[in-house]
Amino acid sequence: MSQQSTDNVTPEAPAWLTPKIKILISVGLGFHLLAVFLPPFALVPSPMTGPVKDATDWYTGPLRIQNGYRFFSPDPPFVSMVMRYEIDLPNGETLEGVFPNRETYWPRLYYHRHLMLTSRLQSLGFSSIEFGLGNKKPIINDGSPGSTWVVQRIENGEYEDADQIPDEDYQIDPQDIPEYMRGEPLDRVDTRTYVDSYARHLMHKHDAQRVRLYLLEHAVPSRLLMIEEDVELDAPESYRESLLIDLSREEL
Amino acid sequence: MNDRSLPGLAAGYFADLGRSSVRGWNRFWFTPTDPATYCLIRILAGWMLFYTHLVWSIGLEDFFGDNAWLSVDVANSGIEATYNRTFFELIHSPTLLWCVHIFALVCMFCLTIGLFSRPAAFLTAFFTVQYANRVPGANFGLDQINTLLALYLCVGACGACYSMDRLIARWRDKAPAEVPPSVGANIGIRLIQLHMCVVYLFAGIGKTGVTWWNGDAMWLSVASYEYQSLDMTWLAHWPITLALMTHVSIWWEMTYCVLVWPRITRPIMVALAVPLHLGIAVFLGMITFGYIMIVGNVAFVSPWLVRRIVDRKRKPSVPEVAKRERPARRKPRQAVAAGK
Repeated sequence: MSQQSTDNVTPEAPAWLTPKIKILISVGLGFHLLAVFLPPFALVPSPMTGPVKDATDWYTGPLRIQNGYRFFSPDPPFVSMVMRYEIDLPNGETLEGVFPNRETYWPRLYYHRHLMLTSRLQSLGFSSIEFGLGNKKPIINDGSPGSTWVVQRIENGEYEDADQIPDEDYQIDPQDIPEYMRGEPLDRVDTRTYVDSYARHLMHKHDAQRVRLYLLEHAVPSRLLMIEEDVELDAPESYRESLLIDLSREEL
Repeated sequence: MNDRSLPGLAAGYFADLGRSSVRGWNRFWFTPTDPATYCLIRILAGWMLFYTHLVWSIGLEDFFGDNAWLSVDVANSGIEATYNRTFFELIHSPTLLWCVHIFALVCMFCLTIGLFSRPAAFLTAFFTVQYANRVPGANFGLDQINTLLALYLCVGACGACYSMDRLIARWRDKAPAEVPPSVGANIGIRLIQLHMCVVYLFAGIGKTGVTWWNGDAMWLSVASYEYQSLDMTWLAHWPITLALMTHVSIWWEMTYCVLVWPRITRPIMVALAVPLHLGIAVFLGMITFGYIMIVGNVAFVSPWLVRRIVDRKRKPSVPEVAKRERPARRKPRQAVAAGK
């Protein structure tokens, strides 16, 4: 399936393609390839790549090719994020719902656009997961170090199930958790601006008096749990809810 | 090369390397090619660009209006790139917003069918970037590949074949019976190929998490309620299958940029793209993303194969084409040296 050499013929280059033009185009192509390669390469910038990448931003930005291409990296999400809303309407009723809703958002691309809005908090590093399990035994592998550790101990054959693990073994020292794996506080600026924007949108759209947004973190069950207990993917206990914003009309 | 000293050998090696690199570079970029593959990508990518933006119509004002999900301030905030401005922030009237949107859709439709292909390609690329810039928080992989394909379709004559432009030109008797090979189409295809290699390389080496190596990543993907479109949780009882799928995915992504170039491994690498991306499309509900990734891989399909499939045309025999196009064979070095 080679591109053009398959026919064993080499059509002649057009007359306008003089050596000078070739050099000019080659310089442009070289720069472009560098600009394509640098953004993902310098996603974590080094003293060498960082400044070079910054110097090509004027080019990659307007063309929107400054992407990292880290699909499902470093791991697929252990937790999905959706939002629940409560909207106080002018007639006194309260509108409640979840977005995105798989049943009502159609076509799938439209659903996915909204899923990206809620997942945006995740890509900003936001998580309300409390690391360190205390006395709470996890029933699911929600991606936190503690629950991953418990599932691994079971899979390694140390224990048959989570109930057999003594409570003291659940203790995990927060200091043992790398900083980059710790949850971000709810009032982080990046997160706050996004959440605020979502709430204001709902406020305007429904001419609402008050909007409350809750984050629903939805954990993916471990394979082991699925085998042992045949859990439903949307089981209520797999959700964790936390209030993100309570915006009143006066605050607009 | 008569100088057999070490510096002489090194100098000879580097001189030869330089000459070969220049020859290879010229052959890689500036060999005119049949634009069949390039034009097929125009149709396939054009359709997805049209569909992607058609779906925006459902929530046009929710995403692009004055009180959109993402305010202009958030879209332009520091966490986004400095240069990603969009004209949508200047549009405050819903009527004007709809007019612009419909015009953009017309441009994308024209690109798909190949009507006024060149201006349609430039306008489509322009609009694609503008839309993406306005809603950075709602973008995902689809938009990244959409954008790169739209940009590279501006490079060559993407309407040279399989287009209304060609039909009209033929009808007016102003087009040759056979589409001439094109340098622009070759550069466009090469750019898509290289960009796809960059995409896969970094998608692969970015997967540094534990689950990509202990085989759990595929489970996490199929068991995500928000992503799944088909229930594949029965795979929980098939850990080796899950691990195999995980390992094949990551190794395929990491080696793509190398193994897609040799003629012997290219069909395997491109063929593997189909089940991998179809899996994403069917099981994870990202039909559009799976589709556009496959379209990107079409860049590695030879024009003669495209002709054979689309035109149902047999590959021309080498002697027949060579009579018309093959340049004179270079004489062997010994013959040149002997002055033959």
